[in-house]
Order: sequence, then structure tokens, then C-alpha cells
Amino acid sequence: MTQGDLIRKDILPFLPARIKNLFLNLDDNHYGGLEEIRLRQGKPLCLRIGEQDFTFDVRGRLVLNLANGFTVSSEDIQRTVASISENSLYAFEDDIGRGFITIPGGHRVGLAGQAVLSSNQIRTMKHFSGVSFRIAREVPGCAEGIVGFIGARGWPPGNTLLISPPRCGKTTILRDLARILSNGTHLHRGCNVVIVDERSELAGTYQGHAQMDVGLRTDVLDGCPKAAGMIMAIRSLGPQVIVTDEIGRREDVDAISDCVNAGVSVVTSIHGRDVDEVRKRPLIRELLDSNAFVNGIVLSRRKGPGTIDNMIRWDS
Amino acid sequence: MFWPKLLGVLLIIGGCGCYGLMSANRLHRRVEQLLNMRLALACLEKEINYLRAPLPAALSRAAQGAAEPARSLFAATSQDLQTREGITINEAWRHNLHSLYQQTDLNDQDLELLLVMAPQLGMSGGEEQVKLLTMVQEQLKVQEDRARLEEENGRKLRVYGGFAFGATVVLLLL
Repeated sequence: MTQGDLIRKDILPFLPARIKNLFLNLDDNHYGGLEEIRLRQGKPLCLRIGEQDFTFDVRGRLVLNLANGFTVSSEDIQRTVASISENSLYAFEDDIGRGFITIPGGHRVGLAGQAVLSSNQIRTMKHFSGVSFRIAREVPGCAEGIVGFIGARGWPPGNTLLISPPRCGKTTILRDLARILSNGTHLHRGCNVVIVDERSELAGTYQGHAQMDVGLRTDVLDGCPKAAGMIMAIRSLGPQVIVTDEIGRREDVDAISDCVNAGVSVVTSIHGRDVDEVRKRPLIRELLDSNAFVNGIVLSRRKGPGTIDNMIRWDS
Repeated sequence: MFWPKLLGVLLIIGGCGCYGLMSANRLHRRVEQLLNMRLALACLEKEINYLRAPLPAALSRAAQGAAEPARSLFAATSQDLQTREGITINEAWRHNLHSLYQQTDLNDQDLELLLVMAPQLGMSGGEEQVKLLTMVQEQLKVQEDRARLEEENGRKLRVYGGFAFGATVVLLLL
């Protein structure tokens, strides 16, 4: 199935008819690079394709000039929100409180609007003003090079940290790493993997089912806070490897230390351009100084998403 | 001439009497339909409050245990929402309620009451949904009590009135 078919099947049914019709003119080349579809009330419809933002002009042609683009109405937003929530906002209250809803196919739909607070926590949202479809993609095999590197010194591989700025493909690579570690390679047997998926991005879980291929020996703790999920996994699921996304808080660091002490490998990611930038954060510096991680992978968009800039061994 | 006249008399009295009976039955059916609608909404409220089931599933399940006209309204609305043609609950509920209205014995006030909830159904948090459904059920209960009173007062009047009116017409014609 091409990326175009995937988007036609998974995303377009959720868009209002007048916007859906505009997408019918797109060819597979455009669909191939499409990363985001943004609807902002009273603003032009915005399509992120590669490094550029496109919109549709009055004739329905894809153009770069956003100023003259197709304007999204309040009704478009309301219809889209109704559609992605199955006309049932109450059923997605927890998701909306976290700012997004995951739709079938594992695609994440971010929401903008007025937050409704309860005891200083965001309970839900109302008066929606923006919707952003972030298209999840699987690139099977994209992490094979990394597995070769991190698995060279033993199996399951040691603790691994992916360092990457946003939109450089770290979630896609983490997902593929989980799949390969879980299924095994021609050299190594598969491991028990637990994905702690706090934001439902890694496995793209929809109504309890992982929408992405995350491997045969993988359990998913969906919507679970990272630190609590890692401890829970050690206690109850007997993982050999725990995969989680975007660490950064004190409790994440403590949980990783617990995993190291329990002999469980952690494969995780952090936002940053390089090791030096990441080391400026006291918590992460503390973690790196304690030799918690043995492998570091630095990603960028230099040659497109998922470009491996550097692979580091901290144990040598 | 006796037999044709007798037949005419019977037809007039019978026809007017039947009209009275049907009118009385309509009063009774409205009470039942309001009750059924209220019970179905209570069932929907439970689906939303306890199971947090999305509306297409919640309406479908509530329809299974409901009686008419709620069963048809809930089932058709659920089906419309499952088509994923971009139809909103507001549109589906209104469309199906209007289609069904002619086949029911509900009056304009009842219809208005059921239409008022359409834009808000599903489109807020769980607590707000429960409040909305509770409010509509309470208003339906008021309508139901009024309809029951109307039935008690009007039933005999319509049944006997129909036959009496038929007899009066016969007397006038004779």
C-alpha cells in the first residue's frame, strides 16, 4: 500500500467534504512527502510536505503562497473534531486533556482550543480552533543499521539513547528498533520488549490495539506515564528491553536507573541536536556521567528524516 | 328503504365512534412513546456515564433494549454515524427525528424537546452529557405526566363523544 493509499484510507474520511475534495487532486508524489495537515480556524489549510508548507488555491491547486490559500472555517473545525471523536468528546476526555486523539492507523490528531481546568489540571478542551493531523508512518528496516551497531557488543543491546531534534524521525526509528529487537535478526533471537507509550505515538494504539507493527514479543503500556510504566513493566511483564520516547524529567531518570539495576535494557530518545547540547541539561548529564547509557545515536534531517549523524559508544 | 337506512345509521355511528376510539388511542400511545423515549435516554445515559461508549456504539446498544419510537431513532442515528460520511450527531439526530415524527403520536412540544438536545449530544465531557440527558429525561417526564392527565381526562370524552356525535348526526339527518 502506498503512502497515498494509506492517507486516503486513514485520514481523508475524517476531513469535511469540501476539504476532502481538494485532496482528490493530489498525486502520489505529494502524498509520499506529506507529514502534517493543519486546519486553523480562519487561516489557510496547511500541508507540511518535506521542508515546506503548502496550501490549496481557489482552483484547488497545491501552492506555496499561504496568503491566498483555502481558508478553513469554524464549521470545518467542528466537523473534523466531531469526526475524529466519533461525535463523542466524552469518550476521548482523557486524550483531549492530553491534547490529542489517536485515530485508526495510529495517526495522532493534535487539538487546539480553550482548556477546561479542574483542580489545576487540564480536564478537557472546548471551543476548538485548530486541528493538526500528524501522519504516522512505518519505515520497516530503517533501524537495521542502528541494530547492527548497538547489538555488536551483546544481545539484548545495552542501554541506548537516541538524540534528535523534533521531526527527525526518532519515533519511527524507535518503533522499528522495538520491532527488530522483538522479532530478532538472523544473528540474534528476539527479546521480550515492553513499549511504554505515554503519548500513544510509538505503537499508535487505538482502542487497545497497536496499529503499528511493533514486533511479535512486544507488550505495549499505552497512555502510561514513562516512569511508572517502566517500573510496572519490570514488576509484571519481565521485559529484556524497555522502549520509551522523550525522557527528560527527574522521575524518568530515576526509573532508568531502576531498569539498569534490574538488568533491563532501555532504548529511549531525547530532544537535542547533539551530545553537547543534551549534556547541558543537569539531569541528563547526571545520567550520562553515571554510565547508564552505552550507546548514543544522533539523528538529524540533513539528508531527510532519520539521517544518522553519529553513533557513539560510551563504554569503550 | 329500511335496511339501507339502518346501514347508513350504523355506518355513521360506527365511523364517528371509531374516530373517537382512534383519537383516544393516540392519547394513550403518546404516553407510552414518551415513556419509551425517556427509558431509552436513561439507558443511553448509563452507556455514556459508566462505559464511556462512543455514541454510535452507545446508541446501537440502547436501541436493542428500547421500544418504539426510540428504537428506530437510536438505531437509524447510530447507523448514520457509522457510515463515516462526515455527518454530525446534530444532523443525524435531527434528520431521523423529523423522518420518524410523522409516524409517532408525539406532539410539536415533544419534538422540540428532543431537538433541543441535538447540538449538545456527544459534544462535551461526560459530566455535561449526564446533566444534559438527565435534564431531557426530567422534561420528558413532565410531558409524560401531562399526557397521562390528558389521557385520563380525554379518553372517555373522545370514546363516548365519537359515538354521541355520530348519533347526533343521525338524528339531524332523520
